[in-house]
This record gives sequence, C-alpha cells and structure tokens, in this order.
Amino acid sequence: MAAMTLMAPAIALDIIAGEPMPYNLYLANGVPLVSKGQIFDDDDQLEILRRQGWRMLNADNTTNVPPNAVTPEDAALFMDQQQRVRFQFRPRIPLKEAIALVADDMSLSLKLLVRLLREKQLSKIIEADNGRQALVQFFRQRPYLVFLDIEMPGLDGMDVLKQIKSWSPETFVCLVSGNATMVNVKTAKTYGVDAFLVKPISGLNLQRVLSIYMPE
Amino acid sequence: MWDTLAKTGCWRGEVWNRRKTGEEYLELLSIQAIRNNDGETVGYLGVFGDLSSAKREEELELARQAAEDAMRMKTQFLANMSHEIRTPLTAIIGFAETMTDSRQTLAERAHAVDTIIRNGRHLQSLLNDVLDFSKIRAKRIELEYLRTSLPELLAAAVDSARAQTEEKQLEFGVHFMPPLPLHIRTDPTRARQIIFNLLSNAIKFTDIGAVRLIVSFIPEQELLAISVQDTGCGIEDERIEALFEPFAQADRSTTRRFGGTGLGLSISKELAEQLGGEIQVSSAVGMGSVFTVTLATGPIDTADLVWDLHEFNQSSGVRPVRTVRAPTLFGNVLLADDNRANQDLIALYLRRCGLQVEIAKNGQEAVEKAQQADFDLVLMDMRMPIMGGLDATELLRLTGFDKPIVALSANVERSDIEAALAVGCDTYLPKPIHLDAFYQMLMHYLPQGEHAHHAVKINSLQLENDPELAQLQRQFHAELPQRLARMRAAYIAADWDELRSQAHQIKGVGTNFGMPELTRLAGAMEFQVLRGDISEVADLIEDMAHLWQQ
Repeated sequence: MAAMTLMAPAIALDIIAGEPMPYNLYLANGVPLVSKGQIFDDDDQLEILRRQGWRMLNADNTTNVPPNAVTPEDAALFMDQQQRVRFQFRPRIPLKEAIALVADDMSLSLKLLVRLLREKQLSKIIEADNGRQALVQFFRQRPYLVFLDIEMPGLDGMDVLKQIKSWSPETFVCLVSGNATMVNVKTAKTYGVDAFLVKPISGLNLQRVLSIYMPE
Repeated sequence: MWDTLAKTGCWRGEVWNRRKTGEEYLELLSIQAIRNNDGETVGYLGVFGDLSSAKREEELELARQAAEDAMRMKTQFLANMSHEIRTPLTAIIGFAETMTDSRQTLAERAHAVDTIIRNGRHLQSLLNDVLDFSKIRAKRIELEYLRTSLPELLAAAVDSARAQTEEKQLEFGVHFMPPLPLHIRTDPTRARQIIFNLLSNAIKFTDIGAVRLIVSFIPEQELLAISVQDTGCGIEDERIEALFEPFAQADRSTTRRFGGTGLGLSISKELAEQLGGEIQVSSAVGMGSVFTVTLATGPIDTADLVWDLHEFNQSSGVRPVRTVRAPTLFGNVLLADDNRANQDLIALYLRRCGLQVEIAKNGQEAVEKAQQADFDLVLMDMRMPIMGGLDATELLRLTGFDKPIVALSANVERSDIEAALAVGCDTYLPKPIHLDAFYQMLMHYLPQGEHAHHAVKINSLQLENDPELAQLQRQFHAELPQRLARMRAAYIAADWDELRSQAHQIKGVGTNFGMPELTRLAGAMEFQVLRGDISEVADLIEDMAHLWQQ
C-alpha cells in the first residue's frame, strides 16, 4: 500500500534569511521549490517561501501530523486562493543583458529554440524540460524572458504562466505552441500572456516575438 | 356609486378585491337596492362575481388574434421573399450555366456576365433591404448622430441620380432654396439611404419628363425638407396609404414592370420617423408625384445658415470622376477566407493591383502562413471554420505580427466592428466588397510599386530553333507600335468596331510570340468593348504600350 502523504503549511518563523532551510518546501501544487539545507537571503524569495511554502509530511505515522495538514489534492486547491506574493517590480532590460528561460519537453525543439536565442546574444539561457523545472528555475533565477511550451506533462505551459504572472506580472512570458488552434488564446490572455510563438520556429517569428519584448 | 344607487336603485361595476391568499383580482359587483312599497330603501342586495377569469380569456383571445395576424404576415412575407429571391437567382444560375458552353460567342458571354452582375446586385440590394427592414421591425436599428455636411450628404445621392436619369434620358434638376444650413446633426448613412431611395423610386417610375430634387430648411421647427418631384405615372389617392406597407407597390403589375423589393418606402418611412421627421406624398395619376421627407437637423444657429449657395451648387454640379481603375501597388498579401468564390474574386482584385497573393482557408492557416513569410497586409474574413478571424487576429498580434490586418465581414453592426478593432484589426471593410473602397484601402496600406517587373517574362526559348517563327515574331514586334497607334486613334474617334478588331487580332497572336500578358490585356479589352464598358479601355491601351516598351 502506497504511503499516504499530507501537506502542512510551512512555519514562517522557521524560515530565516542566511540560514539553512529546516525542511524541503513545496508549492501547494506539489512543485518542490527548495530543499532542506539550502540558504536563501533574498527578501522576495523568503517572503514567498513563508507565505506560500508547504511541507510534505509522510502520514504513515499518524502521531505527529499537525492539525492543519491536508492531502496534496486539497492543498492544490489553495493555489488559486492563497494570498498573492509578488517579486519586486523590475523594468525590462535590453536583450543582451537579459536572462531567458526556455521550457519544452521535447529536447529537439528545446535545443532549436535555445540555439536561435543564442544568436540573439542573450546574457544567459536556462533550459528546463518540464513545467515543474521551469517554475523552480524561475523562482531561483528570475529570468526576464520565459518561453513555455504549452503541452508539457505534469504542469503545462498555461499553469506555469499563471504562477509566474502572479509572482511577477512584468516578466515577459511567451507561450510556444505547435498548432495555432490548440491554443486557448482567451484563457492565456486572462493570465496575462505577452506573446505566442507558433511552431515551426524560424528566425522570422522569433524576431517578431522579441520585438514585442523590446521594439527595436 | 351611492348617487347611482339612490337614483336608479341599482349599480354594477368592477372592483378590485383581495383573496385570502393575498392575490388581487377583479370582481364584478352588482348592488340592487331593496325598497319597500313607499320607495324607501330598506336594504341592499349585493352579488359578487369573479371577473378575473373572464378578463383573462379576453386577453388570451386578443393575444391569439395578434399571433395569428403575425403568423399571416410572416407567411405572406416569406412567400414574397422566396419569389423575390428566386427570380434573380434563377437568372444568375441559368446564365452562369450557359457560360460553360464552349460554343458560346464572346458577345453572348458578355451579355450573360452583364445579366449575372445585374441580378447579383439586385439580390444584394434585396438582402440589404430585408436586413434593414427586420432591424427596424425588431427596433434594433442603431442611429449614429454625427455633424454632417449637407452638401456632402446630398452629393452622393445626386451623383447616382444624375447617372440614372442620363441612362433613361430624363431631365434632372437640383434646387436649393436658401437659407440652408451647411451642417446638420443626423445619421448621415441613414439620411443618405432615404434620399437615395426616394430618388431612385422617382426615376424608376418615370419614363418621360423630369425628376427634381428640392431642398429647403424650416428654421422654426429645425427641420430639413427634401422633396423629390417626378413626372411619372402617379398614384391613386386610395393607394397612397398602402404605399408604405412592406411589399406594396402601387399595383402588382407595376412590380413586374418596374422590379424592386417593395421594401424601400416602408424602410424610408421608418427611418425618417426615427430621424425625427416624416415622409409625405402628394400625387396625381398621370401627372406625377411629390415625396417630401423631413429630417430633424438639431439646433442650428442663424449665423450658420447659408444664403450664398455656391458651395451647394458646386457639390451638386461637379461630378467627381469615379475611378475603379486598379492602382499599381507592391507587396505580399495574405488573404484568409473560407469561401472559394470570395478567394478567387478578392485574389483577382489583388493581382490586378500587381500584388502577390497567398490564400489561407481559415484562421489557423492564416496564423501558420504568417509565421513563415513576411506579409505586408492581411485580409481577414471574420467568419471561418476551425479558427475565426477574431481569434486569428488576436493570436497573430500576440505572435508579434505588426503589419496591417483588415477585417472583412458581412456583419456591419457596430459591436462587430468594435470587436474586430479591439483584437487588433486596423480597419473593417464590409462584404460584399465595394471596389472603390477596397482599392482605397489597399492604397492606404501598401506602397505604390512597379508591377510589370515580375509579371512579364518574354518567353522566347522555343523560337530560337525555328527561323520562320522568329521572323514572324520580329515582324509582329515591328508592327506593334503601329497597331497601338491605330488603337489610340480608334479610341479617340470612338470607333469601337475598329478597336475591337485590333484587340481581337493581338489577342490571337500575343501568346505565340512570347507575350502572354499582351494576349491577356487584349482579351480584356475585347471583352470590355463588347460589353460597351469603355471605362478601362484607355488604361488597357496604355498598359499594352508600357508592356511593349519593355
């Protein structure tokens, strides 16, 4: 029998700047954000961990379960209701100084987009091969531009878009899709999407998207 | 009640009462005074009856009658419509079918094309009328009051009336009675529609004589009065009322003779009333009729009234040159439309302007094609399967496409237009396409350009091996300037037969001598001359000359 897992809110007082994390912390939807022992001293990150961090508890041993622990399924429901915490506002900076994050579960198309972006001489390009990784990488490195494939297993592009925009509405997020009609433009727009890249990706359509980020 | 009782000894009436449930109902109450032999009232007898069910039945009966009337109207309307639509449609299909017959002469084809165009236009105006009519019926017509220049408002209607009267060899006069306001506040589209309608009615029903337009202003009432006077067949007094009923021309036989939907006047009347005026008619059989429409102008300052009618006269006298000549433009256009006939037609218009056209069958294709190529303009039909024009435009804008997108749609409701502009369309063009407006739109968004440089390549490969053919070709080329000169002379002398025969000869050999484009131009010219439409002929001659110089 599989072990039942419960989640409990992180205890804000335990999270202290400059000191190792007392336990692994997750978002309410189960995305692992930080591991036990890591050290954070950025105010924004600490604030997010204090307000939105959850602990994963193994509930086989029912004696130590805190009274406010809930199942992961219930915890995920808190995602939409939880208090908003946002990163400090940052204006857009020129492409050559900016960090980009690219997430795609198909490695070939991930490589292609990364290669095309390299030609634009961005300062750094982070790769992620699924939605969870993309979210964690965003939390840790705060890229200025994010490219998210829409169809990814687990957390899809739309979910990641939603979370990133709630933390940082000014971050440029571009959804990448293989097919124009698979896109729910209306929903993406309500979450605040900035651009769409429709595959096949060429120099032309990438350049158009980048000029939305910063007109030449 | 007491007075009546005292005098007559009885009273009957309806009173509101309340049931134990609290529901109010109407009650029939009759009170009879009981009098003794001396006539003194000793008591009253009251009889109550519940009226509500009787009342309800009465209402139901009224509603039933109204519904039946509406049903009858609807049946009548449908019968009329199906007849009105079927007639032109039959002609269109019939003549289109004859054109598939390869033995048909060019003259027969030209005639067929004209018939198809005429009937198609008739269907179009019929549909517009029905649409307006149903909107008026449903009280859904939206008026847009704007400050409107009166001379401009009249100019378009006057223009088209002048053309129509010339065709029927009628006299046409425009009379402005000073003082007139230069600007009025009204819905220009609707006001123009009324004036246009009255004028074309007058022209339709007048065979000899004159049609006059008389414009005056009544300052006290702030009303503009526009009268259209004709010397037509006139209307009998008892029929005047019925004139404004939908589908009622004065007589069934006139319908057959004059055509038309029979909706025009009823629409005009409703519109005039909505615009704060009315339409009046006076008529004498055999003498002619006068239709006068009044329109509210909004407050007009006496200082704004014009006594010097120079401006008005100019607007009615000078006829702007109507040009439907395709401009020469440069660029790639993406056309998204799911209808094959529309694709062909619009693509034809675009190619005529020298533009490269790429066609997408739906919004998805449009978005995908725009990813791979740089288009200078996108024409986007709004209603398409798989992905409609609104979604496609929204997505295209999000992919960073920043060239103009023009919405094409048969819907011209303001809400539709606003929705299109909101998702990122630059402008909105109603369908069916009006060529003038279409070319103007293209000229607005696209740069002027040379069109011949990619259109024509003289293909002389197979001639090299055949000295005889090469000799003939040299001869043809040497003759061309002379032929062009003869065509120019024929055009100036209006010698259409000569022009046609020249065009015909050139058409026949152009392709053989490696100039397919010349054949195309000559063929077009022959067709135009046959149809008696010479508006483009001069341009075609110049196009040929241009082609030759290359």
